[in-house]
Amino acid sequence: MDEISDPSDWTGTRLPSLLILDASLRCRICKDFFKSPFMTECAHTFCSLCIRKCIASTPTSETACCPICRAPVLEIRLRRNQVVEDLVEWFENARAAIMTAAKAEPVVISVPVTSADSERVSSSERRGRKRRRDSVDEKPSTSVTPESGDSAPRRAVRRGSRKVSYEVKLDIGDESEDEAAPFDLGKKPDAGSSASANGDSSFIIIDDDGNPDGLVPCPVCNVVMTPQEVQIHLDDCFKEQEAKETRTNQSASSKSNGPIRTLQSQPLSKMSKKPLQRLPKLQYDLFNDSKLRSKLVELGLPAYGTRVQLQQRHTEWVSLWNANADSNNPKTKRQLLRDLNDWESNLTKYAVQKISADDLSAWGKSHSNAFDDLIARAKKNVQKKLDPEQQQGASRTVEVNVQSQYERQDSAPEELKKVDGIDQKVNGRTEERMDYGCDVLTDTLITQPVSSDAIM
Amino acid sequence: MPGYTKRLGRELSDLKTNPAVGISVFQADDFRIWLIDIQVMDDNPLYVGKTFRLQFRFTPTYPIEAPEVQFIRSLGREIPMHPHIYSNGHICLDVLGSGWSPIQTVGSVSMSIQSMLAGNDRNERPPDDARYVASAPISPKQTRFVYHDDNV
Repeated sequence: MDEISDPSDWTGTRLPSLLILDASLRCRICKDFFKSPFMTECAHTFCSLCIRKCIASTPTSETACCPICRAPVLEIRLRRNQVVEDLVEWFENARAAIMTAAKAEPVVISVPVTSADSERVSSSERRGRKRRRDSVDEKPSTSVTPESGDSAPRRAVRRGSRKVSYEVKLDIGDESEDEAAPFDLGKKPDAGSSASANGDSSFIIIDDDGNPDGLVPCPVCNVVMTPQEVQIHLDDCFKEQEAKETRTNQSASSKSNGPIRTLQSQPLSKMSKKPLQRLPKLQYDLFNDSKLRSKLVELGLPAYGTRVQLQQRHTEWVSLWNANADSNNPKTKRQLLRDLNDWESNLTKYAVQKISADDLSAWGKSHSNAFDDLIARAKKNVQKKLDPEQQQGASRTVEVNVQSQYERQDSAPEELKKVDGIDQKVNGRTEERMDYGCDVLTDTLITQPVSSDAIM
Repeated sequence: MPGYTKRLGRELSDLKTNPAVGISVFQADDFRIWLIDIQVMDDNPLYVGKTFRLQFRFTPTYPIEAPEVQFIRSLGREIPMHPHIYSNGHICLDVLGSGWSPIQTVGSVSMSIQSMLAGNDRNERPPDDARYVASAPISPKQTRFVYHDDNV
């Protein structure tokens, strides 16, 4: 699905209330229609992959919680939400057709348009409506049947090579005001929804046999349904039929269901497949690097990179794999590996771009005083170090300097302790690596605030 | 198209078609950095007539992980005075850290910050502003904030 659909697509159409249905069939995490929806114990539903990723991203020390209500969520307690899955499948298939119907201009029937009405519509709409009204007005105001020999129904009802004729009669309360408008099902699928928009009008569809029994068979698959449903169903039915014709390995049993079946019947071929095994999560602390690598090799995954990369790769793979195992149409392992590769290349691409040169230079400039100070101190330290007798004194100077800086800024006692610890480390490292004294100092002091708590 | 750009594309179109009052997209050319202008809509004397600019920085882990959000200075855009907003633009707000949930969006975060400003009547910076700003990391996400003050 390349086009990005959104619940807001329904605003401005004639069925704005479908916005709520559309929004409820979407995962709150990825904002897309549910894929293999799973329900938490707190009765919130997410895509399998979304909720699994969400749980996997939680630090092991904490319990994962529901993104919506923050109730604790355990991965093993997730349950498939089959009804939602079926609803999404139906809605996704029907969405385009309903959207076209909802966006088409309303059919204007012989009710005279009042001046207030015409002021409400925009000029472009008014033009459209006028054209429509004119075309309706051209026709005789009596009910038209296929037998009448009028040219109107013949003009209307061709669709592709299937010469299926429909004649739609609008029946509005008062018989004398009846007007017949022929509908081309392909070009104007708005007939069904216009009926629901006008509470006082109803449809009687007379099929080729002239049986206005209320229910009509779909001309393609013979499924019997109400006329409104046919409008929506037809487009999908054609697609389905074409797909079926191309599928050569379709089992004969599903075709032998007979001409009449319900809309809900689904091919059960997937059920016969052997279900995919779920992968367990790993306690990474229990694996050293080489064990973790061999674990990845065992799974057929690349085993290069740092330990963090290995862990991330494994975590992502477990989420991808398990979500795929939940799917009704599971991908092949090769496709999954490609997904994993895409994910990883995105991550590394981002890591390179994350801190741009601009950011670094700006940050460097804003902290240049601190850098100068540190360099000066380090230089002093190095000089003193050259004189072996003064070695101890130099270390102490740095310690006092750093400590007094924090004392001035009136920090909490625990933090002083932390600073003490770092000081000792700084001194230790300066003594060990004389040549890099300056670098070591800068490194340690710059990274230090990262670990400290900012107190508000 | 990776998942996070799809979701961001959807959020962007939503922000543009149904903009919330006082929140407007200033720049969103890619899926890495967005600039959002926010205004406080009530008559809070601290912020009346002023516009502030928020910078959102996304990673491919969005929305599972929170975006980096901070105020930035620019022509006519200052860092708002607030006891939880440092003078370098970093914001101490739980939804940007431990309180993040993947159902949140750029719009909802902007609205949280907007209401955080609207509810403030103290014209001051956080007590440890000078110390924090002197040694702050580039990314506010690298700071472990302690959220203990729910009064503002």
